[in-house]
Order: sequence, then structure tokens, then C-alpha cells
Amino acid sequence: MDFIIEGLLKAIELLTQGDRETYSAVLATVQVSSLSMTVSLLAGIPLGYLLGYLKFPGKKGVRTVVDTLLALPTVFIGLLVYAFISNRGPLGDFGLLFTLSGIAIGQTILALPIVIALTATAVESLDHSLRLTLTSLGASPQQIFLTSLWEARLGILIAAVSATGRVLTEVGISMMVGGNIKWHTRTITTAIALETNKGMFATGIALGLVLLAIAFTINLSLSFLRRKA
Amino acid sequence: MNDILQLRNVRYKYNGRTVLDIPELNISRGSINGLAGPNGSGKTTLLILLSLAEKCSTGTISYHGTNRSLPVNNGRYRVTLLPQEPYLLKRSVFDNIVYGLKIRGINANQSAAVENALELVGLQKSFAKRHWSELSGGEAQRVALAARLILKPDCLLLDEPTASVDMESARNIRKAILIAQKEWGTTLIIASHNKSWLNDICDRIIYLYNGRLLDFTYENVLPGPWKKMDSRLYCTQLADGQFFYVSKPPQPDSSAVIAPEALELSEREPSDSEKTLRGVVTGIFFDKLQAGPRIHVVCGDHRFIATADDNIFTMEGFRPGRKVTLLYRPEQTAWLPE
Repeated sequence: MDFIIEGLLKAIELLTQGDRETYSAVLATVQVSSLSMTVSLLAGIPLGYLLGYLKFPGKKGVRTVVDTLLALPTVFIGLLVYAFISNRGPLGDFGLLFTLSGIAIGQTILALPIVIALTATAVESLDHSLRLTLTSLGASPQQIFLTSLWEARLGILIAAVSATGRVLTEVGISMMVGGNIKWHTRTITTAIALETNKGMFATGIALGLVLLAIAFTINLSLSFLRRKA
Repeated sequence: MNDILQLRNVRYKYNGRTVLDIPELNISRGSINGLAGPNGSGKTTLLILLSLAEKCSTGTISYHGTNRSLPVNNGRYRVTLLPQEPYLLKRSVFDNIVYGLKIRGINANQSAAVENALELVGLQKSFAKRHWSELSGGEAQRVALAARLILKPDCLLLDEPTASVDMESARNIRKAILIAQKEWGTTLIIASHNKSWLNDICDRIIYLYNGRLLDFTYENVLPGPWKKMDSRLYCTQLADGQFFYVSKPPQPDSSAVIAPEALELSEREPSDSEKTLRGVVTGIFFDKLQAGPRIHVVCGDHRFIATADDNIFTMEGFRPGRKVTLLYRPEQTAWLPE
């Protein structure tokens, strides 16, 4: 028990004194997750809206595929991305292996189905009289699209938060595609895994505390936005 | 051209089934029209089509004489519908009311317009600041109506506007729409089960039954099947064991309808060609549109609307609850189209 308490105290020391190695992993995590979430949200929200709003042949099939992708194991995504961006892979020339961009590609594959599926659910659960109300008030199809998107904002926010949580906490993609290179591709989660293996609990706990703080901030923002909505 | 809306051979299909079949219907500009019919008769579907929010499966809908074959309510047209359960945007009351103006690009004097619209529906100016979730059912309905009235519509369609609101809200809604009709010449089309209200305010009542127009009230509709009595007469049995007679139906399960004028409450003996129904008077009202008194008579579990000559009303002891006899001729029943 003592080593946990000692680890916790040491972790606070590392954080308050601005340990460079610790903050390098935090910065890498923030950079890579921001990139992957930006792409996922920009692509996922319109796709999710269309999936939830439109009726088309094969919609159920598409929905099933998207829902299945929600359970994609991170190590499998890591394996796939590794295969594609390694020197022998079709995207090998881009030199993405062991880079933050490479990790971001894998994390986008992880987050995209979450954003699409939860946005589609949010749009599907909109009151069926919304469209009739907007049409009868004189809204054009574009205005109906934008207003419906705004009406589903809480559900879309939840989709974004869920995907961010998944991206922040994954290990498999960062480890396999990023290679856990110190000062470059070492993220919070890969650093925790490494430090724990080395018996360096303090750094692991310190990074864990940062993850918790990020999660807490996101949820606090969500609660605030929910109240505002 | 005095008609704001014209329907010609309009059919609307849902899941392959024709739920509305209107050969011809004209709505006069500035008129107040009631839309009456039992649940599932197609009132809401007809209102949606008349609001130009959806296209009909076949046929044409003209607005101010111009054919509209597609949903065209894209802001250029001032036809608007207040659904039975209107959706309020998850925004403030102000933003809800002003939405129609915003999407039309009208940004000037929005505050004054919102205040006027709120005043029209009997709500105070301070309501504009409220959030949509802070409204009662009646207030929400009035805010939704204000969001339509701010557009000063040419045609306002209302689906059961007072069905699920408190008395004060119902009174305010009725007052507001009548002001709109009087001041702006707004054509009103109101679907409601409250027939006495429709009778009080409407210039005309459109009756619907099974998606088809009726010439008179749907209460006098009798569904089949019909049992053959002899070579000339068929009948159906009412809940109290009495028979209602008709001439040969086009199909064994066709629905018959008899005009209130053909159903006479009388003390005289029936002629050879007349049949009788015994029932109990449950109400008397003045049919403004037909300019005459009408009587509700319950026979078994069926409520008919009948007429009577003036002598009946001076008859001693004539009042609701009294047992009476209705006279009719079987050949005067009409048949609803299949």
C-alpha cells in the first residue's frame, strides 16, 4: 500500500514541478487526440446526420456495419494501420509510421463509428413533428437540415464526448503505430503502460491523474453546455 | 379567382393504401372552414396536404390558382400549419416565435413583432425570455400559434388547436385566430372534434369519413355488413336490437349515410314507405350553416342527428331525455364510395 501512496505523492511533485518527460506525453496526447477528433467530428457529424435522417435502401445494413465498428479492438486497428503505413504497405511512402499523424489515422478509425452511430441515434430520436413544423413554418431543405442539427446538439455533444474518451484512453493504436518513442510519440497511456512495467508507479499515477483531469474537464463542460441548452 | 386553395382528384397513399381521396375541394379566400370527422378519417392528412408541406400521391393542389405538385412551403408561401402537438425548438420563446421571420430574412423590428404576436395569443411580453422547457402545455400551444401569427399568414391551418389545453388557453387561441381572420383576411381551416365550436364560428364545415368527403355529418354514417330482408330491403341491427333499413347496397359491407333532413323526428304515424327508429333525445342545437335546429337522438349505441318541424319544439314535455320516434325512407340513404 505504501508504494501507492508514495507514488501518488511523487506524482503530485512531478506535475507541480513541470517534469518535462511527463508533460511531453501530455502534449503528444493532446495533439494527437485533437487531430483525430477534429477529423472524426468533421466527417462523422454530417455522415451520422444523413444516416439518421435519410431513408434509403440498405440503411439497416449500413447501420449494422457502423454499430459493429463501435466494438473494433484498438489492437486490430493498430495492426491494420501498421500494415498500411509500414514501408511495405501501400501508404509506406508517406512515412507515417511512428509519427503522431499515424496514430491520429488509427484514432480516427476508432472514433468515426462512435460519432456516426451516436449522431444518427440523436437525429433519429428527434421528435417526428419537427420536420413538419419547420416545413409548415416555411423552412427550405437546407434550413431544415441546419435547424435539425442544432436541435440534436445535445446528442451530438454526447457523441463527441464519448469518442474523445475512447481516443484519450486507447493504448493499442498508440503503442503499435506510434512505437512509444520518448519525446516524440509517447502518449499518456503508452507512458503509463511503460512506467508500470518498469515499476515507476509515480510517473504512471501522475499521467493517470492528468487523464482523469482531462476527463473531468470534458464532463464539466458537457454539464455546463447541457444546462445552457 | 376567389379560391385560395383548390384540390382536384387528390389521392394520398400511405403504405400502399389510399387514406385520402378528394375528387374536388375549394377553399375560399378569407373563409373560416371547419374540418370534422372521426379519428382516422384523414383530417390531419388533409391539413398537411392543404398546408403544401407534403405532396399528394396523385392529383393537383393549387394555391392562388397555381398548381403545386411538390412540397413548396419554402418561405415564399404564406400557408402555415399548427399541428396538434406542435414542436417547440429547444430555444427561448423569442427565438421560437421569430424563427419564421428569420428564415425569410426579415430581421427588422423583430422584438416589436414578437411582442405583438404574444399579445395576440394573450401572453405577456415577459414570456419572450422564457426557455421552451418552462412552458405549460397551453402556453406552449399559444407560443406555437404566435410563431404562426407573426407571419400574418394568408392561410392558417389548425389541427385540434384546443384539444389538450386549459380553458383560458383555448379561449385565447380562438380569439387570436378570429382576429387574424378579421384583420388580415387570413383563411382559417380548423380540424376539431368540438363540433359546437366549429358550428359557432365556421362559414362551412367539411366532413370527412374514411378519407372521403361527406355532404353532411359523419354521425349519420352506418357501416355494413347488410343483411338481406326481402327483394327490396336490407338491414343492419343496432345495439338495442332495432333494425335500420336501406335499399340494396352496392357491396354487402358498404357504409350508408342518411342526411339529417331525411331523418325526421315526428309524432305522426309512419306511412307505408317509411321506417321508424326509437331513441332518446340527448341534445338540441342550432345548425347555423343549415339555419335550423338539429336534434341528437341516441338509438342503441348510435347517435343520429335528425331534424324536426317546429311543432315538435312546442310539444309538451319535449326535452332531452324524452323517448321519441324517428321516421325515414330506406331509399333516401346514400352510399359512401368504396
